[in-house]
Amino acid sequence: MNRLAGELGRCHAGPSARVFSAQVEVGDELELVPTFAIALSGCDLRCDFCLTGAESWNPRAGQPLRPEVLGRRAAAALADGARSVMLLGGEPTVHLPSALEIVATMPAGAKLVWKTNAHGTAQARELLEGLFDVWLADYKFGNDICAERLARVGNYSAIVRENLLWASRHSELIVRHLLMPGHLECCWRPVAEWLALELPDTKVSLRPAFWPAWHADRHTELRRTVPAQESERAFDLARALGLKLVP
Amino acid sequence: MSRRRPRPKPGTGASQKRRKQGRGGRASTDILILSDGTVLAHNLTPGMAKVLHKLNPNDATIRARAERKPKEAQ
Repeated sequence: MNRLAGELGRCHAGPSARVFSAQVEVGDELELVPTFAIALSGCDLRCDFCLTGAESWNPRAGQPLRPEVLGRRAAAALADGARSVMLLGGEPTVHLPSALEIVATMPAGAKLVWKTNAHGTAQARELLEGLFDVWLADYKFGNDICAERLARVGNYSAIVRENLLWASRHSELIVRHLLMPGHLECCWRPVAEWLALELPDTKVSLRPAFWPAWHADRHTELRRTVPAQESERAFDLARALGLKLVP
Repeated sequence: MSRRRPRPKPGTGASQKRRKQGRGGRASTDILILSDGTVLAHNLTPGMAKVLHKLNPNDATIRARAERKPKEAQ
């Protein structure tokens, strides 16, 4: 795929990245916040429940990237007490050259977080090696059928697992799972069991605050939030498996 | 265990007309209020965390974020 020649892939991104949000946030994992979060438009997944679907599905959303401006704003945020700078999307992997440009402008010593869907290629992760202190990686689906149905992506599990194992060897890793209503047994349980078996010392962030955003209403079970009872069962399972949950 | 590669030199970024980046150039939080009073938030800013904490001081998740101290202040 040669974007410089006008070819477009699944994410529809061109050669230039755009930014749809850059601000200090405190909603992520407690050890990382306050974080200066930089969100790039465009993503390779098509999650119907995406909270930022308008921007994640449209790489032309937002404003053109100006790394120097972001660098100055990140420096100001860090001076004001931010603990980290987080690069996210959409999916930042679809803008690797721009991600490198952004990293180059970050203040020395800044804790850099790569927030990713963990669905990148082996080539992409090799290019990212050593650039980020923390990989905050989603593990969204516990099986390929749900991944195909809800995000239109094939071979999901194998790719994500390979990337998570790689990330655990090359940086600090936090695995995040957004609990979806009706997907405790098919998605959270397999994810939790795999993490307990393969990455028992890795921090796990279980997020129960799903809400029916974007095109979630295309799927009957996603037209609601997660019932409290289901959320409790999910946390019980995590504790029973000995996962290292982080707030 | 973080192995930091030397950072690349800054390149020439694409031009940008707006001074600020973000939705409309201003910080924003998305909020969903459920009929039972539960409040869900996304892109939670420090200011909005404080507001939500005042609305419901018993919410431990929000409290932890509203009361989170800046790095230097700890």
